[in-house]
Amino acid sequence: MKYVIIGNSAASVGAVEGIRKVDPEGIITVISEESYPAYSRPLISYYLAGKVKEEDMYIRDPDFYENNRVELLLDKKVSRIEPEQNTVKLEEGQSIEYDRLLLASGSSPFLPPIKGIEKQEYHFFNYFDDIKEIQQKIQLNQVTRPLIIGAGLVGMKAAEAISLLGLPVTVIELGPHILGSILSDVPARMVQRKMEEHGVRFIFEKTVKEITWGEELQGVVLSDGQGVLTDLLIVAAGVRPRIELVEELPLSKNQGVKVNEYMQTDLENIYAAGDVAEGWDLLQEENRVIPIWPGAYRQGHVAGMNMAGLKTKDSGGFAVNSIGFFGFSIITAGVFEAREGNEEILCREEPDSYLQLVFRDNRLLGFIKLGEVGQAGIFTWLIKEGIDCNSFKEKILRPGFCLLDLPEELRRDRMRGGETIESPGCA
Amino acid sequence: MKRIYAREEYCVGCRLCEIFCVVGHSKSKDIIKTYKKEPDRPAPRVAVWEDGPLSFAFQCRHCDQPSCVEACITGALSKNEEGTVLCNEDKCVGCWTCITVCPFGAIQREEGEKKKIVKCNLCSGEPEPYCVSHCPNRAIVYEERGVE
Ligand SMILES: Cc1cc2nc3c(=O)[nH]c(=O)nc-3n(C[C@H](O)[C@H](O)[C@H](O)COP(=O)(O)OP(=O)(O)OC[C@H]3O[C@@H](n4cnc5c(N)ncnc54)[C@H](O)[C@@H]3O)c2cc1C
Ligand code: SF4
Ligand code: SF4
Repeated sequence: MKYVIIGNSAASVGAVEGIRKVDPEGIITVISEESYPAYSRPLISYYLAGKVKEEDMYIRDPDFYENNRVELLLDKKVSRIEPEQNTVKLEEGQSIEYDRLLLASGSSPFLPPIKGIEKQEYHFFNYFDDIKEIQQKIQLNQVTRPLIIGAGLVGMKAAEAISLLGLPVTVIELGPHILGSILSDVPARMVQRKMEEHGVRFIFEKTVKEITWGEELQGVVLSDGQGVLTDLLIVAAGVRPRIELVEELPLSKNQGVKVNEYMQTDLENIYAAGDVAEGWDLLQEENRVIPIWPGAYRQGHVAGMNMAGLKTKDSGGFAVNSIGFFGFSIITAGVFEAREGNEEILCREEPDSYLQLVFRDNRLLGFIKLGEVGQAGIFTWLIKEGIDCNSFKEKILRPGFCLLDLPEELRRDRMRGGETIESPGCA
Repeated sequence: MKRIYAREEYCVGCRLCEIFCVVGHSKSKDIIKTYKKEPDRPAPRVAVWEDGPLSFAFQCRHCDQPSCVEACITGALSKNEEGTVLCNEDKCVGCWTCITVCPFGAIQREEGEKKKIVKCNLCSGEPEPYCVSHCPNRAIVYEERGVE
């Protein structure tokens, strides 16, 4: 059996480990346009801030590829998939045959339409090489006024890292508050205050319309005509699934590539996993891209086992995020807004912490937890299992909620380790 | 695999398991040195939960399909051949992603300013985990119960 994997990140590593659980023999080829063994994308901001050294960026030991008998092709870009011939073609012309193909190409940064941007210098904050370029500029003392477009997860991680290097960061955000994909207004303001205390400045409800004049200092013109000067422009305006390789192929796709519960696309031998795939969202009950690291690994792992012939269903997932800025933790999962009449929100707000729980018919649908960490996974488990929380709802809101607060039967199940001592993947 | 199980009927909440967990993960493994002399005293990997007369010791379940390992953004967490789920503390950056997905609330954090998790490693290399061998009431046992 010949396995080919496009991409070499979370989903790809998951797939290699999934394949090898089932098939010790088949030939695995992993192709990456990047020049590194699998590294942690979430760690690139840690690297820039000097918190993690290059050798600690890699998510597996150096002998990972050898031990798993993987042929790793770095600096090679796949330019076409040819399903009739069962081959992928590299940019430089070489063809590689597959019996099973995994598309684990992830996502790429979105460049919003800004007049004049093609003539100016800007950086993304997505790949290791992006960060190395930014690092070099900063080390050469070429940066005094960094400007970030976008206050989403990536933009905020960039803002924190650059601010930790002692630079005054400005962030421009189209929406009314930061982290719009995971936080509602009140908690977002709390996090914003924490960031402002560390010198990060925010401009909301504005876009960058145009970039003018050049060389060392660039001028950025905002939608209200206001001008901002910068010598380091970072674009963090969201990501898009990298479906370019399957654009022409006869398989369903919306934002990402649609997959079934075996992570298979409409073409039998082609699988997809990670940021590029629309897997099952347990809460929204639809196929959707959920661009998070744990989900990418889980989907890749399931894809790998199926590719190797062990039928394994993916349990589906939902958004789960844990990030922090300047030591202030932000943990969220599921949904954060109540929509229908049967949905209910419980909240506890203190000066340095915040907890919000969303229930539908007494089942937890999502939470936002700021400034507190302990046992957050129990919330995630309540969401995933759809457990009726009616009898202990108020206890969940208390600080220090733990197994003790569960009804006896549930508590005993947890103490035993769940019925099967298995926790099907969470994220 | 052998796992640690709590017997709440016998737990009196004395927290000796927590203390001996700290000792077992210290440099000297000597209780006096650990608590009186050594800098960087480790945090306990086991927690005693207590509410009135109900109390029990709790630590990682060493899941067959560990969510924490799947989720770890650095590769610090792994499951070894014996089934023990281990954390390479040098690699951990304290992002708390694993805490966000552990369905048992079993992961603890290092004490003080250190942004790292600590978790039960079944006292790798010891015949019996420290918490189990030092509980005066046998309120924690180390047994093979298989998958229920
Ligand atoms: C700065 C930053 C911080 C983040 N922090 C977190 C976090 O804390 N927690 C979290 O859950 N998620 C986080 N994420 C999101 C997370 O990194 C992604 O969800 C995850 O990396 C997706 O993994 P993947 O394997 O699907 O794809 P990716 O990691 O995107 O990797 C895909 C790989 O495929 C390669 N590739 C694509 N097309 C081709 C081709 N044609 N030929 C060859 N190679 C190709 C790409 O170059 C890339 O190396 C963060 C993302 C960023 C950018
Ligand atoms: S830390 Fe939690 S998820 Fe990980 S193996 Fe232990 S109990 Fe399972
Ligand atoms: S806190 Fe440490 S062990 Fe847990 S997910 Fe983050 S890096 Fe991995």
